[in-house]
Amino acid sequence: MTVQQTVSPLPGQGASGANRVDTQPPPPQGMWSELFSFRDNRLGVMLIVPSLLALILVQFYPIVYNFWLILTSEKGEWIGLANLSRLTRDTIFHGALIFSLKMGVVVVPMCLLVGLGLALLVHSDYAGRKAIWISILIIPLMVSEIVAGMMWKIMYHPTLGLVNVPLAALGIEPIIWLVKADTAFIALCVVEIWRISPLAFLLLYAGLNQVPRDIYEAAAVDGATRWRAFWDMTLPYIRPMFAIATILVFVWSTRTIGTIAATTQGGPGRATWNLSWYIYGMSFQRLKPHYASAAVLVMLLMTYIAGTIFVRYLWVERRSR
Amino acid sequence: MKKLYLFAVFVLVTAIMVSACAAPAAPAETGAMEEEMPEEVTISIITAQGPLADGLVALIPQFEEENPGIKVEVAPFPWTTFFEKVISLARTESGEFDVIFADDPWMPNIVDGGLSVNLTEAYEATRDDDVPQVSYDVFSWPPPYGPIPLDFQTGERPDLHALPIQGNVIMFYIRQDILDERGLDPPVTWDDVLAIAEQVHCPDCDPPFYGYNVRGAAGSDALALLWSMGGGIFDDEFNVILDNEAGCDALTLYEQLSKYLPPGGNTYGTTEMVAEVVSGRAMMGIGWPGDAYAAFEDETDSDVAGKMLYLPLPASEVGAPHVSMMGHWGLVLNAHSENKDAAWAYMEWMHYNQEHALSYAHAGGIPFRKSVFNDPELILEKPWFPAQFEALMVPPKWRPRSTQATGISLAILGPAFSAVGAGDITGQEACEQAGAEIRLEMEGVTN
Repeated sequence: MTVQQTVSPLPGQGASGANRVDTQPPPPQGMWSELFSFRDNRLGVMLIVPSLLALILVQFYPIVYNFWLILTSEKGEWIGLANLSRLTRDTIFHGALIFSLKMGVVVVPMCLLVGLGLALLVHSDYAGRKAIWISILIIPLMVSEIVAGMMWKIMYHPTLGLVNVPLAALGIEPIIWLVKADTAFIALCVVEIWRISPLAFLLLYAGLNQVPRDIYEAAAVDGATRWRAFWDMTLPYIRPMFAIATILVFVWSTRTIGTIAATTQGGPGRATWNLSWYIYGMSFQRLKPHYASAAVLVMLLMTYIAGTIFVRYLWVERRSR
Repeated sequence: MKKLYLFAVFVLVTAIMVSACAAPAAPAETGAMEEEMPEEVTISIITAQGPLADGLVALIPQFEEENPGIKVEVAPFPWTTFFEKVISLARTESGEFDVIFADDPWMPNIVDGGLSVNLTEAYEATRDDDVPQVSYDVFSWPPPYGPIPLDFQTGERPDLHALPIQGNVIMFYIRQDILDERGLDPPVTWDDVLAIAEQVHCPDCDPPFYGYNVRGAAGSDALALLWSMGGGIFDDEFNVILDNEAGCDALTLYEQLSKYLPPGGNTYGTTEMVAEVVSGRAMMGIGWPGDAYAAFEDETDSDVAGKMLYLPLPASEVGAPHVSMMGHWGLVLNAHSENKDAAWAYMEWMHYNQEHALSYAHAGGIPFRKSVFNDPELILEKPWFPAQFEALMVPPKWRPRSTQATGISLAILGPAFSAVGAGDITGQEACEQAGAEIRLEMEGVTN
């Protein structure tokens, strides 16, 4: 009887993990050379080439094309970095960028808090029939931005809307939410928190389900309080999910356009113009797609930088411990 | 052998994928219409959803019956994405749609984008006496008068690039029953409007009643108000005149009118504006007939059916013209269409026949022929037609013939009015700021 030459790798170690007992020659360096080094793989590679090409076309071609747009004028003439330099002087763009970041700063923590609260609640023993709770709680996620915006616009109506009813019961004068810049900002943040929190909830709930139950039992034996167990065990376990949720909520909240279209249309004045609204207006109303592409690049960079920061401090940090 | 077999499967799958993604083969070159046209041609029309599409769809069976061999498909798009689609058609030189049912402000984009066939040259399109001349002028290129784009100030004869199908003009509505009740005369000038608004405004009444009503979101009524006050965005040489006296007066007027709006009126779109009127809570305002007035006169849902008076827009002063704003819709023959002759046959059928135009109006469309506007049966159904015809004969103004006009209106003028309505800045400040922004915007176009 021959002994099995390899043993299954441990989770996280992959196929070339330390436990692999190798009787074959060491693999060549680099992913591509490794792929092509095995005769059987060549066919496999050839079979994935069409999908790979499609992926490159869909993912990379628009980005390359966007760069070409940025570097040329609306008439197609080469202008170098003039579009980007013009953005630095464009006060309307600055306002839109600041508005997007402000939305992110308010909406991201609120969505994570609400999402985590809901996830803990549904994950707890208090919530029976979890499937029903989940399907109810993710309803806002299934509503389109425009529909959500229209629904909330009616709710914000000063005399007919539901939002002012509890305020009136408290003797507070009805607030005309969408007319003034500051209240319109709060109103839009509330819509986005309502709309995006279920995404954070779903991700964090999935994260909570990955936490082994027995560690809580061990912690209880050691006399840890619930708060201590949550802080020292639950949170570190769900940290990667937290990072993913943070990135996605940030992207969703800063790029929203349907909600703005349905509620404020950027008003009053330009008080609720975010980057998406600016790019849409510049591209399809003012017909300057080349200049708008420069703003697209800024939006892309903003998302990339924020994503890198979130991953660095929320995810990688844990792995390095 | 196995490898060869797998490779053959790979090649076959790739070939199928590539062929599935490929564009359909172009039809062979053809000669004269009778010889060229296949036995059955299907033409496709792109339009906006709603009454615009409904009118076209209603007449398709009759057209197909009278024109065997031509089938018509209507592709209605949501209003919000329709303009983007038209721009995309121009950019991609697409013949996906044979006919474009286009809004008149898009003509510069359509002609500049090479999307339209010159109907005068290609099909000897003529002007019908039963159609107001301004309805042809708005679809002519270069524009016969008004600010003419610098690239087109060549003295060329204006040719038709579309045939009008909807003769829409924005108008003024007011509660006739309240005027009668209070012994007030209908307003002639905007000063009269302010005086009436002040008299009837009662936000604390039960139910509340508001002196003025508006589509305030993004300053939708801005341009109409500006023109009726004698202002404008450009003069005939495309110099910016928004911040002249008349322009600043228009923004100041809006500042004053905003005092009489329903709470939140400055964020209203058409739906909310209509809701205030049909529930009997608003006195007057500006509105498009197609989407508002039909709702006002709908006896099943409106408390004000039969109680409204429709007028051309008030003037800046007594004796000044009641200048309104056009919103005509016309059929453009796509220059990239592969079924031009069939598409032209359809356009001719829709435009040049009085009976078809009447049927179109009965199906919910807005008339473009004088005889249809004055049809007694239709006037009973749609009491705003006489005022609309009157506004059309002033004549009204069209949106500036510049590819930048739509953007300027939506992204500069609209927000300026919206900011004034919110009380963030005064009318004077708004007109000065917006004037400076438009000058900056136009530098890239005119230089």
